[in-house]
Amino acid sequence: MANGVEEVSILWISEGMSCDGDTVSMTAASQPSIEEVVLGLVPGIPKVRLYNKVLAYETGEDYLQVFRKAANDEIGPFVLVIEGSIPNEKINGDGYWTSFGNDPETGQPITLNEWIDVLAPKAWAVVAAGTCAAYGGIHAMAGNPTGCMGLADYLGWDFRSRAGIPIVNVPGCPIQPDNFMETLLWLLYQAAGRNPMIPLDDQLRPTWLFGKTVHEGCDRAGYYEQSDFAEDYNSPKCQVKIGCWGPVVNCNVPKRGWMSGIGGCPNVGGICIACTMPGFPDRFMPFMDQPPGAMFSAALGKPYGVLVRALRGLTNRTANKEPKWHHNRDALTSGYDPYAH
Amino acid sequence: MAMASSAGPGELVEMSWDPVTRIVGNLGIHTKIDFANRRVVECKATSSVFRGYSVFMRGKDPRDAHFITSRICGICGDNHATCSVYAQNMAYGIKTPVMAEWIYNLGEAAEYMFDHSLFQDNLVFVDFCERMVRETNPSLWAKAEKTEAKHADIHGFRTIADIMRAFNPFTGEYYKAALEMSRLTREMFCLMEGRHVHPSTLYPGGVGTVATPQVFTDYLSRLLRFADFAKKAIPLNDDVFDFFYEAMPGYEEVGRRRILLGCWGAFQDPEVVDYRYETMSEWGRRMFVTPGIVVDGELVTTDLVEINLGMRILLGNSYYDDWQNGQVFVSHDPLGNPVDPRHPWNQTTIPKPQRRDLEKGPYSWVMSPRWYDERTGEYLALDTGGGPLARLWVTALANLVDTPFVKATGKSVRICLPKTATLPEMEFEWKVPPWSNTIERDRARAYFIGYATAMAFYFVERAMDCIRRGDVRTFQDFEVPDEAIGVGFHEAVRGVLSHHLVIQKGRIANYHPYPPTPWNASPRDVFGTPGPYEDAVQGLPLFEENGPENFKGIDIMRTVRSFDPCLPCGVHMFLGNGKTLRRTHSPLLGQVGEGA
Amino acid sequence: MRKKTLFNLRVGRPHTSPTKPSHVPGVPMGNDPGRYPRTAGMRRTGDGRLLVNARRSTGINARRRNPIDPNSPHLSPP
Repeated sequence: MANGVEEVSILWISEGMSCDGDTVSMTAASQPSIEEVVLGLVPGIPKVRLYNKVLAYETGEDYLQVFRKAANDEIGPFVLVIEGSIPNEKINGDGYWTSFGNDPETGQPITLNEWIDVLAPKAWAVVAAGTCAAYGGIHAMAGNPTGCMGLADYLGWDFRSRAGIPIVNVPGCPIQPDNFMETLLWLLYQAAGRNPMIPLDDQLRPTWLFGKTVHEGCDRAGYYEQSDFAEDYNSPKCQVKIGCWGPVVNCNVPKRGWMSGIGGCPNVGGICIACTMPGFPDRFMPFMDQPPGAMFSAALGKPYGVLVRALRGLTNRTANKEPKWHHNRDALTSGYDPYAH
Repeated sequence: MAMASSAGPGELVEMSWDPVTRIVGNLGIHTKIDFANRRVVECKATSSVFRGYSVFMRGKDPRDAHFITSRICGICGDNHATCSVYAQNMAYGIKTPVMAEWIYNLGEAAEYMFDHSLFQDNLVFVDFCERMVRETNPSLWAKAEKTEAKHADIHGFRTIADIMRAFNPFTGEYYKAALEMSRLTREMFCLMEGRHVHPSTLYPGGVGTVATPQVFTDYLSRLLRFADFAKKAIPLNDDVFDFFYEAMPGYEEVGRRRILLGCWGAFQDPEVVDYRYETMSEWGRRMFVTPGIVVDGELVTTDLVEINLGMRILLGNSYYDDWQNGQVFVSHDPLGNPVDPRHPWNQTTIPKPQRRDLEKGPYSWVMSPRWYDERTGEYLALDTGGGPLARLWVTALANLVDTPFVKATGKSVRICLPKTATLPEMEFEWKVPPWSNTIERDRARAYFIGYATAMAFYFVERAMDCIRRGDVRTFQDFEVPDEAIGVGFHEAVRGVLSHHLVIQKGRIANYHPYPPTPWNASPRDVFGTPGPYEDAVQGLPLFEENGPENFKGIDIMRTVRSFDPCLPCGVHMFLGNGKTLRRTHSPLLGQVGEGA
Repeated sequence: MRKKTLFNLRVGRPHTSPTKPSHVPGVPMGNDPGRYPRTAGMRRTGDGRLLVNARRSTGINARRRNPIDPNSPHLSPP
């Protein structure tokens, strides 16, 4: 392993076109929690200084100082976290869609894009927190006025940070809390010289988190296999016929729950709307419509499902009977024989 | 870095804080301060994010509206989703199943418990923590060390200074306990609505959450643990705020403005609500947080139809083209009342991005919502007091809410929380205060946490009644009409929330959400009516002991945060028309701190 | 790309339209009235109540998973 660093700053800018939901979600994490990381309770990682405006002690220019210093390469290694869709500032004349602090000379707002231009090339790693920053997300839907996009669309999909790391996308709308903290933790171990290059798939997502489909991890998948479907939202069964895109979506939420194993999406009755995917939301709207392919595979599976349910019913009946020798008569019929071999 | 030299008598010093931290979203505050007389003379606030929901939602399927509008806000998105579902229920003509309404209510109660606690204990209280008080009011700190906390026997902190130490970010005991509670309450939310902040199990017509004994006992077990925390939080908050009044006489003037409060109601009563506009006045009054408007201390209405018809959207100093001669979508409401062209149903959003001009405007991305008072012809700049203040004030005066856990009395609200692990059953009473100011906005937040907790016990009982009857229906099917209108009224955590929806050809023709922050932080409008922040910040007396050289503006920041600003929809406010006398950089205080 | 200004913004030839992600008539919808009768284990009564039984949650020997006491409510798992 390469030599690691002793201290790392996390510069979190939520001034993309954002709802700040990924920051809020990050505070829901418990595996590990943000305070455990910041207070140095996790062994083996560098000392972490977090700069996130929702939690920061400082206000205004005080708070902005570290960002200005980073722009001048004065603060040592930092992880740049971007939250929110990246706007297209080429289409709005003199105006601006988003900003973060002001230019001390002109007093005009500094756009998020200007910050990205200056900070990304100097960052040890760049992370896109949430689907908006990763792929454009909700604000990029058809008919949108801002022309927004994801970070890789803006910086280029072959962007590499100073440490040679591609943009790390942690999609989710919002991020599943522990997904984000685990990813951050990998990067911190990597910064300390203890982890190899973070494994990312072709959409720049951590492979151990996004390498399987919702359906492959959903606890309602058994209903699908038995061809037993929900026809409306009152039902606890598989929801592919009423809007769930699980079979084709890369996400682990049904598998790990939303927080501490509680909640989720289709596993608890909420159709998967594919919020981790680059095609979100357009390819999946209207969300309550039956996805194409659901009818086809549901119909194909029906004969198998009906048969296998019947067979399982037979075996289940047998399994639900206690053996004959459990009784209260005055004779032992368990086949007891001390010389048996 | 030192500031410019101290101001002479009569000179104003310009100071700004951009970005404001410990809020959600993007906000910058620019002020002019008279240090000689220790007052804020002028203030402008600007927010610089535009996303365009009302533009890109047009042409989409109305059933997608709540999934999309949830994304307006990353801390209270579920409030938007719920409000959108209310609007859709009206447009589609749905009467939801009783169990679905209890689940909505339980989810929203968990949201209030979560969000108010996180905001108060991890964001607001950093302005009241040991480190901050030492840096801004050393003599106040000295008093805090000598003052016994009145309710030490309940919350366990002996002196006010002990409480303030516990507020220190990341190291304080109370700060850390609050973060843990914020996760517990979000688990409760996930049990009802799937995931936080953007719910997965909400649909128009009900929920997909499966109603079983398990989901309610899981919720109740956590509620019991949270209620123990809430019962300590209320007296702890009272001790801190009463100390501020006693130790700094005159602090009631900080952030004080005219009493102009709006609350759009929360928590439907499933026995009554049918989502029809024609009966909205009745089911509105039966909500477990009463809707209404208070003007100068008097309750002027509790009628959601009247509230709806009075809404106006004015363009002040904002980056939009006007729509005055544009399409009128709704000329009369379903009861035959005429609807104004400046009503949200008839608004068209045409963004006009441009350079910012702080002196002459326009310089921000917000519109100015106002409420037209027919009795006086005034366009009222209502505020929500951050949410809880308006909710408690209206509910108290309306004298309608009457449950075993929460009861209005006409001048107060009584909140009863049952026995929990470390404390017996306790009753709290929030009384209508003499002022609408910073301290009372913050105090109300603690009491409303108790209110939401108490109502959650009530909702769990009612949900279990359904379980006992075997009534587990949670969803009512429906068809989307080709032409329809709908409106949802709800309380976001920070206050009034409305979603106005127009459907044409089976698709969204118009959709305008109005969250609380545009109301709270609205600018001086075309009639010259000042916005709530202007009232609150302008004229604010300064108690901070620092001079201009190392000024933190703590009293200004406390005031801004008391409104619980949540800016993701874009906010702007302009207060006053001063001349620039001296331009200085915003305060720089020492090195960048450790950790957060 | 040919560009022009439309309502204050520079636009090029569109790749899509605002109504593209909307409903196509004929595609089945989860909210369709009348889907109830087709869901196993759930039955609507004349007065709008929903009666459920164990078949709502299992396809394996559902009848035997119903409560044995007629006074108990029908509560099947999530």
